[in-house]
Amino acid sequence: MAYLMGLDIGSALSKAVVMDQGALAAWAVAPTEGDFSRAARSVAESALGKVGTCADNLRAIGGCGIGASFAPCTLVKISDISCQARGTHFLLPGVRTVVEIGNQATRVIKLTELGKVADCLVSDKCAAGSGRVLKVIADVLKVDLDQMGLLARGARAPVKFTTGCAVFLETEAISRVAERNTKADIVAGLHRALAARIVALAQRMRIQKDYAATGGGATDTGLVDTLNAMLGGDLLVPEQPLITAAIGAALIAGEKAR
Amino acid sequence: MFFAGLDIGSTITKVVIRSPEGIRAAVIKPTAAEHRRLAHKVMQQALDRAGLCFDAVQYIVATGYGRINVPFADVQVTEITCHMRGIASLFPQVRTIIDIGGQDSKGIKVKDGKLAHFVMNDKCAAGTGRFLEIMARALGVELERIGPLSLQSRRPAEVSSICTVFAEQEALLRLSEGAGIEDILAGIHRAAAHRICSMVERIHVDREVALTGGGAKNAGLRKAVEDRLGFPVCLAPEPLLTGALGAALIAEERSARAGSRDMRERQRRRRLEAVTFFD
Amino acid sequence: MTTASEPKGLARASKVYRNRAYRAREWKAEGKKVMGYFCCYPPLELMTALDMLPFRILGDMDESISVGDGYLPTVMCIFYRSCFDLGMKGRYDFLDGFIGAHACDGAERTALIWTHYIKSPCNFHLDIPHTSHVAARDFFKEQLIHLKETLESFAGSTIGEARLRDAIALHNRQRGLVRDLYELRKPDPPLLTGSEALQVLIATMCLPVQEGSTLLEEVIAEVKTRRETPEKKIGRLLIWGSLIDNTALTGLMEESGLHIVVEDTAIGVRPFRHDIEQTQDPLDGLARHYLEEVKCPRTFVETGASYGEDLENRFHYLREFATHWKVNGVYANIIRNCDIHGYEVPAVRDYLEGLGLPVLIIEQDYSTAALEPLRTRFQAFAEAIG
Repeated sequence: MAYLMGLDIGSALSKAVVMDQGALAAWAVAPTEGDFSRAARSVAESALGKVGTCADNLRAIGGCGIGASFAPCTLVKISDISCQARGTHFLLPGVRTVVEIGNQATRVIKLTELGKVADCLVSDKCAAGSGRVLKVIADVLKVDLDQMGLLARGARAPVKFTTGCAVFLETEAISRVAERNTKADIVAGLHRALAARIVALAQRMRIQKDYAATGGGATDTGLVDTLNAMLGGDLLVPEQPLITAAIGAALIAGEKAR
Repeated sequence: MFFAGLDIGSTITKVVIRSPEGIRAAVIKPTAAEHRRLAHKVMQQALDRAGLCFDAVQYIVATGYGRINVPFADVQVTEITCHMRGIASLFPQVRTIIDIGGQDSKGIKVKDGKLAHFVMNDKCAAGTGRFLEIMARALGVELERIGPLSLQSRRPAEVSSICTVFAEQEALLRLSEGAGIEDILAGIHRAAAHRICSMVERIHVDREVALTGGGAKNAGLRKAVEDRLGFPVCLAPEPLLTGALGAALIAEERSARAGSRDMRERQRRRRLEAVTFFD
Repeated sequence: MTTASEPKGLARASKVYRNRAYRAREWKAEGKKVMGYFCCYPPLELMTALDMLPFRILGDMDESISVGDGYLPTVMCIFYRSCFDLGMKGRYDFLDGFIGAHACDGAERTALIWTHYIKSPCNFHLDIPHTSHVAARDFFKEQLIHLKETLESFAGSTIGEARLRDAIALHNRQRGLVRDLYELRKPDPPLLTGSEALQVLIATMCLPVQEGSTLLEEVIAEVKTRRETPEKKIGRLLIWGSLIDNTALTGLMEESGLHIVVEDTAIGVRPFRHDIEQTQDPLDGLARHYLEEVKCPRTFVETGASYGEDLENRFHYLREFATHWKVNGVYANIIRNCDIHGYEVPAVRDYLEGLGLPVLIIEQDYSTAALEPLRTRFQAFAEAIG
């Protein structure tokens, strides 16, 4: 029995998956908390534990994400973008555009039918449009990211945010909390501001269906709904949007090991 | 005769009450997210400290990010003009002012005591106090300590100056690579200084240069700016107060220009109250 | 067609400014043609002579650019990107024809891409030389002949000399009226605000020439006699640089204690300063006017023997504006990535500061969403003037 492991060690979250003969066998997610090495070990062990096996049974380990080099094992380093493309393709073969809403940046990736990267757009000058602000506001409002959608439902007059900067957006949102705007209006406003930025980014690439959203931002159902509306419907989200890149890492590492 | 200047910053609110003889009282308080309702309270604190009643103040100038939320002010003047006036009164030889605030940074050129050119960054958090706040939080160091700690560095680490969010990530990377906290902090201060000085260089840096605003109180940032400029900068005894001081000076000037009947009319209408147009 | 219930004067200007296509759509419904064009170089007289409505294509600062970015790089003039974005969104679907122009690189590239993606029955690309030597003038005249032939072919009729002279006279008359309007901005305070003037000028660019002239006459009469004049402010600004086509920006400046008294921009005085000379061959007058009298940095002016002489050659007319309109400050408006004006900034600043005028330079993002941070800058500038 030879499993494949994929690791995606990001700035906010670390993810690990174990693939068994082309199928997802187990996965684990944990906050990175500034220690890439520790987080990588933790999620890897957790995923292995769920399958009930150990590292010796791994045929190959693929790694991506900013913290991949710090993982305490030998792995094949692969670009985030290739992993994201491959992993999403595995879960949703009809997808041709992936919008990955990460902590530091939002990336728009165009896929070929084989799940390879056709084109990609990343904002490298600035973190505007990244999912970071959602996490920060969720913490301020003391909810989990996946509850933000529910929270936004009751919005009557979504707050209009004017700044592009992710950091100032956060500041503005926090001051709205203190000024006693309703939580629903603030969160709905944030969703709109982010979705508009993301769509503007995506439209620069003349994207094609099917569209999919992945990454931490995709666990916020409110953001997904808003994005979906702006894109004209048909936005898919994998059941586990956090682990798509880790799956891709595992699969690509497996191919390279042959 | 007394005059007041209020500088409602995004992070800190400052009040100066002065007479022609000098500063009578000054108050510095965090603005907090509710700054819009607090101006009158801080003013009252300043009056208490000065031992004055509200009507003893002849003229009030409000400045800063929240200046429109001071209903009892006689006039609003931008912080650019106020910082310039404040510094000019303290250091007549200064021709360039670098102001590092909580959410913006500015470069101001002074010529013969008047505003010549200025440049501002209020769009991007990099190069503002916010940048340093976020870094401090990411590294788990108290904000007041990052400056002194950074001065202990022997080999500043490389940190991006382009975006706060990216820099935060890079700082963590350096930490994982084994760099010392003081080296990372030094790198962060250098990144901020680089960002700020590049902006000010667009209007040409002429000596003498004064550093003002909350950022000026950070010894590490001061050093990084001086290293970048290649010469020392002037520092006010309390850099946070230059805007409010300038506002108070302008209050005195405007008061002299206004007619006495106009003054009495205004004072009769003025009340020290909270702003009401949000309710 | 104006009926008894139609507003007049400033109210009409405001109405047209807010719904710029409405008169053009009526024109089409009458079976006539509407020609869209870029910038102030395609001769309007040729269109008017064929009973076509010349329609100036502008952007929209209230609309964030989305589709346009899929076809144009972001490192180019935001104004033309906005124009193209609107075109792709169907906002200019009422145009029967499109005259692109090599006014600047941004205009040129956008025009060529426009004709590729937005189809219309009549397209022309006006190649405009960057110099005004004799050879350039001859070349430009040739281009105008080609344009004339293209328009005639599209209209199915020819422009006789008489009709062309009439059209020139009509447009000259409108230019004169615009100059009269500018006269009304000389007093202190000016008789109309910069925002009002902007609405009027943009309205003239969406109306048939005679209706535009009537509008100008109405506005001039109204403004001279109205009781409520703008309140006096400290700053009296000349705006130089990239065009401003939205009163949100002019309004912001006026709220910050600044009058706008004269604009040296492609929507301001540049198209209107001089009349077209009625030359023996009218096309000579047209070619000379549009190439030489429309003063924009996109056209190279002979360098002088020294830097000072050079500045004087290029910018002396700004001194005249400053003197006659009692200007005490200049706002250099640079739409981000506008090379034409961006490159000129150091020289124009040297010249104006040499005249003792303070200059505020802002690179702005051509978006109403990004305007509020500019308020402090304008206020600080007003404080520096006062």
